[in-house]
Formats: sequence, C-alpha cells, structure tokens
Amino acid sequence: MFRSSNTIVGLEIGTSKICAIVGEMSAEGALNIIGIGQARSRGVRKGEITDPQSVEEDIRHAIAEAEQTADVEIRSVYLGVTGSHIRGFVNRGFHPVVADDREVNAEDVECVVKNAKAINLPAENTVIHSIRQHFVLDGQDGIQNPVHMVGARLEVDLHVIHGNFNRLQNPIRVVKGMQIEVESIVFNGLGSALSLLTTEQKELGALVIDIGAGTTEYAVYTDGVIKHAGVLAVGGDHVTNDLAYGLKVSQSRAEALKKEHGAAVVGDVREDETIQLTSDHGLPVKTVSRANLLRIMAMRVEEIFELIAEDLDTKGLLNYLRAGVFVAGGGSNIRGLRELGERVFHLPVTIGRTCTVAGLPSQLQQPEFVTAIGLVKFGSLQQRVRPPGWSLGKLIKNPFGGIFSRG
Amino acid sequence: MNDSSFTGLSALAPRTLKQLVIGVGGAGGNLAAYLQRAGVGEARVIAANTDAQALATVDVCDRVLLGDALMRGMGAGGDPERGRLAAENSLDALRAALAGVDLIYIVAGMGGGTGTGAAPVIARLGRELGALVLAVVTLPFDFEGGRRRELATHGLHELRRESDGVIVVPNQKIMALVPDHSSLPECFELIHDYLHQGVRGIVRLISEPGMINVDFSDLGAVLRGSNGASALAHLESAANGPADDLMEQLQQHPLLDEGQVLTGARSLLVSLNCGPEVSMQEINRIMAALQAKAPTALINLGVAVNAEMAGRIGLTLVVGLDGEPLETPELPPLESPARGRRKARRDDAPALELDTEFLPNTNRTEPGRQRFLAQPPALSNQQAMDMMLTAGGRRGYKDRRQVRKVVQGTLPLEIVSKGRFEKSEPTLHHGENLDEPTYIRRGTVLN
Repeated sequence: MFRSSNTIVGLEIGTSKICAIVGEMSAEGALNIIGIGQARSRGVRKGEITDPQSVEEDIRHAIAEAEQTADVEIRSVYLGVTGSHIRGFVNRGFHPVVADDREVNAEDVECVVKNAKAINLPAENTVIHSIRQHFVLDGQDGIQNPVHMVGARLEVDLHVIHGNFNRLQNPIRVVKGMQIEVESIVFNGLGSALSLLTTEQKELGALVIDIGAGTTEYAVYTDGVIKHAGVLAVGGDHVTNDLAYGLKVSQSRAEALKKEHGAAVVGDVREDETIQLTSDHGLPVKTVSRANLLRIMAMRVEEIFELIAEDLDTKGLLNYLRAGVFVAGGGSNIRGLRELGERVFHLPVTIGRTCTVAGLPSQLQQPEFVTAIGLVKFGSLQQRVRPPGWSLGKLIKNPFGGIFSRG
Repeated sequence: MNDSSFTGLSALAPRTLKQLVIGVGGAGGNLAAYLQRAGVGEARVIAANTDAQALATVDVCDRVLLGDALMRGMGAGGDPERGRLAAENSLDALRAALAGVDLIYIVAGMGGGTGTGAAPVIARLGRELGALVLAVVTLPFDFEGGRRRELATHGLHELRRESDGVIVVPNQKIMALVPDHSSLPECFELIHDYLHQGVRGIVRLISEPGMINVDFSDLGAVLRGSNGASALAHLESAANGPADDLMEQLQQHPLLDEGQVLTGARSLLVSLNCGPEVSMQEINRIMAALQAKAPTALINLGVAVNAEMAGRIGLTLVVGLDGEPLETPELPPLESPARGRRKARRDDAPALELDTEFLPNTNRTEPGRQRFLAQPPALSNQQAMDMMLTAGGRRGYKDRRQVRKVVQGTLPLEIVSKGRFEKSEPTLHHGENLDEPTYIRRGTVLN
C-alpha cells in the first residue's frame, strides 16, 4: 500500500476552480498540509455540475497535481458540496427520563439524539450533516453532557443541513467514476467555518461568509455550536455578469475590470472618471465610466450581504455574533468589503485566513483555499472520532449516513 | 348561405350580467370552439368569420358570417382591410349578436385578414353598445413572416384603441415552451389552454360572488386607465405549499413575461379562489409577494371560497399596464384606412356603398384579368382620389411593396439579459430573480 492511512484529502469542486488539498495526521494527532492541486473549473455553474465530462477532466488534473506535490496516491477524498438547494435548520428532539432515580444515562442521550434525527424532509431531500447542539434538561439550557444529571425531560437540538439527493449525487458520481472513493460529503460552508474559526470565536459567536464564484455559503456559530447555515446561489460570477451587461463589455473583460478596478463600496469617485479599455494590440477601444462600474458592483455585493443579514435577522442571530464576521473565498479579495460589511452587519469584519491548521505555507493562507483546507480539517476530525473497528467499506456504501460530529 | 340563419339571437335578459365570448376569424373561431368545449362558466360563446366554410365547422352557440354581401363567404384572403369592410358591412348582424351584453371577450388571431381587420370594428361596436370589451389576441409565429407581423402589430394598435383591454399572447413565446417534437395541434392546444384559463378565471370572478368580492366595475377600473395594455393569467397551485408553488409558477408564466409584467403594473386585480381551509398566512404571503413584485400598483383583491378547491389556490391576475398613449402609430400606409374609417363613421352608408360596388371586381377576378381592371371605368378623377384614400386595402401590389420599405419596426425595449446564467436554473429569492443585475432590479440609472 502506498497510501498511509493518515492521509486526508479535501476536494472542492468550485465554480471557478477545482482544488484538492492533501493533509497528513501526525502521530500526535496534529494536521499538516502536505500537498495541493488546482485546476480551472469549466463544467460548473452556481456550484453545481453542468458538464460532468469536463469536470471529471479538471478533477483529474487537480488530483494529479496534488498527488505529485504530496507524493502520495489519492484513494479517497472528503468532497465539498454546495448549491442553492442546500439548507440548514434546527430540529429539536425530546425524551422522557424513565429511570426511577431520574438520572440521565447514556441510553437516554442516545435516544434523544435519535428522536431529534427523526425529521420531516421533502421526499427528494437527504441529510448531509446533523450536528448536535446543546442539551436541555427540564428547561435548563446549555448542557453539554447530561449523563449523570437528574431530570425528567431531556431535549436536544440538532442542526440539520440537508439538500436535494439527486443533485448531491452528481459530484459523488463523477468522483467515484474516477475510482476515487468519497469518504463523506461536507457542506462547503461548514468546511470554511472549520478552517476559519477558533474555538473561542465559535464560543463568542461568529458569521462565516464564503463568497465563491458561483455561490455564497454562510454559517453561524454561537455558544460553540453551529446555529444556522445557508447558501445563496449568487457569487463573483454575478458581479462579472452585471458588469458585462451594464458596461456592455465581454465577460472576460468584465472579469478583468472587476479584479483591477472593482470595489464593494462606491467611495469618492468623480462622475467623469473613466477607464480606458485597450485591445490586444494596446489600442484604445472603449472607455467605461468608473462611477458606473463601482455602482454596479457595489450594489451586487451589498445585496449579497443584505440577503444574508436579512436571513440571520429573521432567525434572530444578528445580535449574537460578538466575534464578528469572517469573509473567505475568492470574493473576499474585493476591495472595500470590510467597510461594506461593517455598514451592513454593524460588526467587525475580518478577511478570513485559515488559522486552525498549524504551519501552513503562505501560499495556502489565501482566502480561496479556506474551504478546501476546511474539508481536510473535517476529515481529520472524522478520523479522530472513528471507532477502532472502523472500516472504509461502511461509509462508502452509504455516503450520507452516519456523519455525526460536533462542528 | 343566408345571413339570418347565422344570426338568430335571442333577446338577452338585462338583469343578470351577460358575458359573451366572440371568436373572430379563423384562429379566433378555433379558440372560441376550444373555450366552448372546455367551458367558460356562464359566458356564451359565438364566432364570427368571413369564411363560411371555416365558420360552419366551428362548434359554438351562435355564428355570424361577416361581409356575406362582399365576399360571399369566401374569406378575407389575409387582407385586414377586407376583414374590416366585411365587419362594417355586417354591422347589423353583429349589433344583434352583441345587444344587451355587458362584457365582451373578443378572441382573435392577429396577422390574418378577418381577425386583424374585423376585431377592432367589433370592439368599437361593443363599446358603442355599452359593453366592456376585453380582447384576447394571439400574435403570429415568427415563421409566418415579417409582413404578417406588421399587419398584426397594426391590428393590435387598432384594437387597443377600440377596446378597454387587450391581452396579447405571442404564439412564438408559447412555442418556446413546448417540447421540440410536439405537433402543431399540441402547440395550439397549449396556446388555447393558456388563454382559456385566463378567460375562465375572469368569467368566474365576475359571475361568482366571493368572500371579498370583486366585480365587473373593479375589472373595468383596472382595464380602463391602461390604454388597452394589459395582461391576464390564471395559475393554480399544487396541493401542498400553495403560496410558494404559485409564486414559482408566476415566475415562469409566459403571459406574464416570467413575472416581469408585474413590475410595470399600474393596477392589479387579484382574484383568489381557494378552499375553505386556506390560512390567512398563505393569502398574506401571496399578497406580500405580489406587492413586492408590483410596488407601485393599485391592488384590488378578491377572495372566493370554494369547496372544490380544497387545499389548492387558484389565482387570476388581471394586470393593467401603463400603455403608451394611443396615437395612431406612424405607419403611413396603414394610416389611411384609419382615416377612411373615420370618414365611414361620419356617413356610413355612402362609404360602404362605394366599397361594395368596387369590391366584387377585385375579388372575383381570375389571376389574368386583373390587368384589365387597372383603369376603372366611369370614374371621375375626384372619385378615384376618394377611393384611393378610403380604401387602402385595395392598393396594388406595387404600392404595398413601397409601403414595406417605409414601415419601421420597433425593437422591444429593455430585455434584461441574464448573460451567462441564461440557461441555468434561476436563483429566486422572494420572487426576485437574483441573476438579473441588482442595479436593474433596483432601478438605478447609470449615466
């Protein structure tokens, strides 16, 4: 066997790039990133595969590069998934404590968790993650482990992230078609949060926003547990598209304009400021108004933030984010994002850098890699909680089942 | 074929609200027959056509043969001017058919002869008789050619001026909805079905009382101020999650331009037909979504509770748009018939006499004989001049070709492109399509 059992690979099939990151667990249980492979993604729109063949080709490139840099053979991956169909909600289960002395035992805990998992989803949906939150015993909230406590009614909140079964199958099938096993699928937003947030930040309350090319994922942590997660199928591609439409330029030129001149706030720009576009030969072909460019772009980015703020507001979570907002993904390179975020959320905004994995090369500290590193992190947590008799076969047969961890 | 056999109409009872669907022309007749078959509540369905053969095959309550004296039931030959003349020639029969009706639905296909020419005449007559006239018309397929579209556009303008409201269904738009391999009848079936749902929805909202009632006058209020530009749609939700399902359908409804129509709405008549157990919450959600889509519109809500609709909600929307002010469109060749009409209105009989005298000549000639008729005998210069002005439809081939050069088509304004997201699933959020640029949805003007 070439593959040492402690190699963990995170594979993110993004709208603009496909990224495979290889991590290694040291004997002491510390995670080390040892390799990375990237490829341009061609067959993905809004986070979901639209052309499996070219996606397969791109994945092959990314995996091959990762294998080369890490010098391992990749047999299985933790696969990141996203898409507008993915939603998160909290489900509560309860269980009466029946023992004579009213002492909660391990069986009661198992039972209450089982009850909380009995959720009513649309028939075509399936659970990606169900993450245990705090226990409630006779109305007393915030209990981390109720075993040996005394009470009559035990409740538990479970955060359930679910998505459309068929649409989740697409990336899995593509990866499996390449003779690579999928250890488990991971919601990208969860991955980003795992790699960005420290335990203290989770405890204080934090919002993670991952602005990708096709989708924007977000996740909220308070009191150390995940409270909410969601996906907006709007991302950097939309900014480009708006610019192409509004300024009447091609998509590729809009992309370049976005990167070079774009910002999330209009700021002080003179109305008559223009940007000269040049052809391949360096000849001027067109001038566009800088004010218009900024206006179009700022409105789109602002809308993304506003939609998230609105969603959190309805869930009543906006006041619990004491650690602030963390932004990751390619979209976090937008200038002025911090200013805009502070205006919309009234919270400090940090451009996310992976901080939960030690010893990262600076190349990997870019916000674009946050999600993929988070997938590796997720894998490392999985391996840590694996029972001794764990075998690969179990999860492969049921890629959706049994993923149960504390984010 | 005797005129009277087609027009035997009973006297109408004045107390109840009389609604009448009249299919004009070939396409209109087919649609009328479909409506009759599928049922449109209390409305009576009749058909009017210049083509006796086509008319005879249409299965409706009553039929009016137009311009029997002029065309001998042979059809208008795709010439709207002849369609118009035929209708004006049969005013009496039409008047008898429309007498006492309160609400007339004219269904017609624009772009041919009879539908395009006669429908505006019927609309005007209906209004003269005191009825509210709602026209539901189809526009030709793209493959039917530019000339036909031109005629259709002009007919539509005329109709807008003559009726209280016009609802337009471009056939092409519906064609985009049917699968590639579907047959012509299937395509027409779909078009008919969309129109049928809409018309039936209106008939029902007017004739059936509701918990929150909307009636004839509300409909009139929505239609009247809009210069004849309006849209009509009927949606029915699936059994579970009615509100969301409705909003989804609204986004995809071809008659509402995927919901875009609502943005420019001036007034909105919303009629909900729902089961007894529907929650206030559901209604609230639907209305909130509509309000968000049409923030400036005056919304008129009607709710009817119907045991049949258990668990579902039917939504009929009549949208009054800000129609462009109704001047005669700048279409020189087609301007003259309108002038002719005004003249004809002033003194009906002589103008018609002139027309009828002249018509048989062009109508019955065999192909070769036309040349001989180039110089009409026994007409003074003045008379010839008049005729040129009053009877635009009889222009020679050459004239028409010239016309074609002058007419300038208008490009549809403001097609919001979704760019690279054109083909992907739309990102909908509270009824907004997030794929469209934000600045457009928020109405920011760039300079």
